Amino acid sequence: MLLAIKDRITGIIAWFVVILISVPFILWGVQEYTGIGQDKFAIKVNDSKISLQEFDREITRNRQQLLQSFGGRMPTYFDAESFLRTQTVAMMVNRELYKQLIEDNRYRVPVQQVLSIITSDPVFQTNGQFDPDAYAAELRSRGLSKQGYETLLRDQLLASQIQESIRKSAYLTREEVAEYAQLRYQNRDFEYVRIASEKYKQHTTKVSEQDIKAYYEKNSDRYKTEEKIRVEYIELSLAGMLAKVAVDEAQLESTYNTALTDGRFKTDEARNASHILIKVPDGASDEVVAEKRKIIEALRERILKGESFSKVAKEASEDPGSASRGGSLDDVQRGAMVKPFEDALFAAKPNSVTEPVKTQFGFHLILVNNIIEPKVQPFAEVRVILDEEYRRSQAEPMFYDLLDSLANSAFENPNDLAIVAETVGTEVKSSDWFTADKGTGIAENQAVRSTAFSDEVLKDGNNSAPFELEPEHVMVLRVAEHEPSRAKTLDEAREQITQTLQAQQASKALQEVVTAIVSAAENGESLSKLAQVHGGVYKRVETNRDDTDTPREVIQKVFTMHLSKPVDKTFFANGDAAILKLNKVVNGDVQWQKTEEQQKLVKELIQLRGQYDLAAVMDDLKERAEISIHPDLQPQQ
Amino acid sequence: MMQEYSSEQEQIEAIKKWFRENGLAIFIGIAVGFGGLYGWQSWQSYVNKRAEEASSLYSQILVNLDNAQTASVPKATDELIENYSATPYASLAALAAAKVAAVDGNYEQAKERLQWVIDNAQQVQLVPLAKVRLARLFILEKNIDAAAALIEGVPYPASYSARVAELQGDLYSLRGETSLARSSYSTALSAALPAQNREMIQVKLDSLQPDNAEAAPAEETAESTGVTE
Repeated sequence: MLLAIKDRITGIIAWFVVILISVPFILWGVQEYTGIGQDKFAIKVNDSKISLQEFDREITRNRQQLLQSFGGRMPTYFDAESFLRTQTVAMMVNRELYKQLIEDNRYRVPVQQVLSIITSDPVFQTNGQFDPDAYAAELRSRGLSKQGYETLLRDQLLASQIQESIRKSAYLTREEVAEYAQLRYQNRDFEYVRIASEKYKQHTTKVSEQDIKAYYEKNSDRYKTEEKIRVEYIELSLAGMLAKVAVDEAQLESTYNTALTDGRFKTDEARNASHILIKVPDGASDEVVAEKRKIIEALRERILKGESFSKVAKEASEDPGSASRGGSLDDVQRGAMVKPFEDALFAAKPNSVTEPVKTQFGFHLILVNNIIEPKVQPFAEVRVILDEEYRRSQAEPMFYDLLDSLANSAFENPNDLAIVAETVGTEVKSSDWFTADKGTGIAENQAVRSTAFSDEVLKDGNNSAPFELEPEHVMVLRVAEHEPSRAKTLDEAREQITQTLQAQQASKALQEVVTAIVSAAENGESLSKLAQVHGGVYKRVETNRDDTDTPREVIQKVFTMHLSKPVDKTFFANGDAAILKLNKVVNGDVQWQKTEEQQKLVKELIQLRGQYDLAAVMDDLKERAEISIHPDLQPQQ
Repeated sequence: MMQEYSSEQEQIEAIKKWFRENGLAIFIGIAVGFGGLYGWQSWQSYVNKRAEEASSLYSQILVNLDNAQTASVPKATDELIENYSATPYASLAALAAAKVAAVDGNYEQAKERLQWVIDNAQQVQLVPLAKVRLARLFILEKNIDAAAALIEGVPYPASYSARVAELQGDLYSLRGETSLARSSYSTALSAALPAQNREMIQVKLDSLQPDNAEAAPAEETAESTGVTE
């Protein structure tokens, strides 16, 4: 039979068939060798891959949401893109983990439950009824199929079912609560003496030269001078050049006159006015318009007969903003009001009410209270501005030209600052000594210090590139002298060593006193008496852990103490010492869950434990999964 | 198959004959294939339906836990364990029932439920959770050996390390090995914990009796925090 086929099918068709059949065989497995098709996934969780396209869609959605929540502009104070990337990756990994958990364990929810959520979602309803067309349209706009959306919803439901089942199964037994409450709400009766360290610092004896020497020899590697340098520099500042521009007074005056004709240095005319509005609705019929006109005419009559404008405005105006203020609009400039109103306003005579004016809002009566005449600022008042402008116009092009030649020259002559200075017509100045983090004069500026200590300048000995000290103030510098860090001489270190030795003395003296008090108290001497003898502050307190009047250090110490060893000591951050004596421990109430407040606290504790358990289960799930993420999507260092 | 046929007629005859010989086998093959497919699908839909039923039953348990109407929880759990033990809901129900029993002070019942989860849970992540909960109950009962069997030398996922360290501290404390308890509690506290959980460990650490063996070095460290510059 095959032979028969072979005999009958010949020529081009046969070859075509053969080639067609062989193509898949040829290409089979080719991606294994070429790498095509590999690394094409964004995220891989166990055996399931999420494609880069899917990831792009998701991150685009998230980006839009983030944009929306920031009012349309990405914030610049953090790296929004990398934030988005990590968030999206974490979200998709999580979602995939849940998806697999659901499938592997066959978590299920009745279909009806999914459907009832869909039909009760107001987004898919028309007039309070589920509308299949609205549902279909909404899904289309979200780019989802019905099946896709229902699966998504189902997975969400199941994920929250899984979370709740872990959270809500957490508990604390009555016994656990009692044990905790007994310890947590203990009351302790204790006394303590606080000894100030200051006193011992003042009373230290002189440190002998011999001790200083001995200490220096032992610890000389601890005392080092800081690395410091001195630089030579040239500056170029626009401010300096501005000062040098010669200004011609006649020139300024002519600029002033030109400016005046351009409308500069002139305030506009304004009118202080009030108005009364009778509204005419949009698209009102002629009859209505006529009726409203009558109303406004009547109001005008009343004013003409002597009633005050503001009284009528308060009573009848339909402009809610101004009616209460007697119709007052304050000072109105041109351009602030609609055209017909503005024309009438600027044509009106002061203190006489206008004819009714028709605008898109309705009919207005306008009263001009007074006219604020336009004012021209005299030359003397604006001379400073013109002078500054003139100087800038002259100096700025020069400054930027010089900046160019400065940059070029500093680059072409990396070893010589004098030539560079000559090129831009300035002189080389030199600084005082400064270190990497402290300096005076120009070295107060952080930019100067960091440039001076940069490898290019310090190690290679080159001119720096021009850098800005502040806007329009540029500097080029090179190192003039350099002193590396070295061991301090005894003289240089004396001051510091003396302080250290004195502090040690003070500490030792205080320790001795503390030890003496502790052993005296252990032998039954009263702490209050010991306090008097040694000049400490004595207190007796009965309190719990939440006490804020007693220092934290004392509370923390006393609640770790035991009646079997009732005397102990602790130290404060400022060096003060405290000697404590514990007298009585009263446990918290075993029946602690009595009050409503206590029950609320227990509830919170249980909820927290639930959260904590859920976190452990989810982390466990993540740890067991094999997760790989495309290198481009991993957080960058 | 290689012989040549002289005419169309002969070819048709040959095909007919081949069908007479093999037709039945082909038919049975197709029938078995379709039958299997149908059977597999029915089985799947049956299993899904069972899972859905179990889910509904379990949802009721969650609602009852919320409303503190826990009387019906044990019965519903028994039903899930008896009839739906192949679904994940049996284990979740057992966790819920363990809670109900433990809160009532019925530790025996609670332990039984947690043990069931440990022995039967298909979702592996539930096992360590049930283990630490069970160990806590043994500790409350001061059953040192049973608690130790769940804690000491038992591998746990990294996310449980603080919990396990706390339980280990409790164990040492019960045995009177104060210094070991102290270091276990400190290990637990070195993890990132919610403030309240931290406090629950801290008060236990604070209440440990001083043991003389380490009182001396503790004083040394106190001294070194004395007055310095």
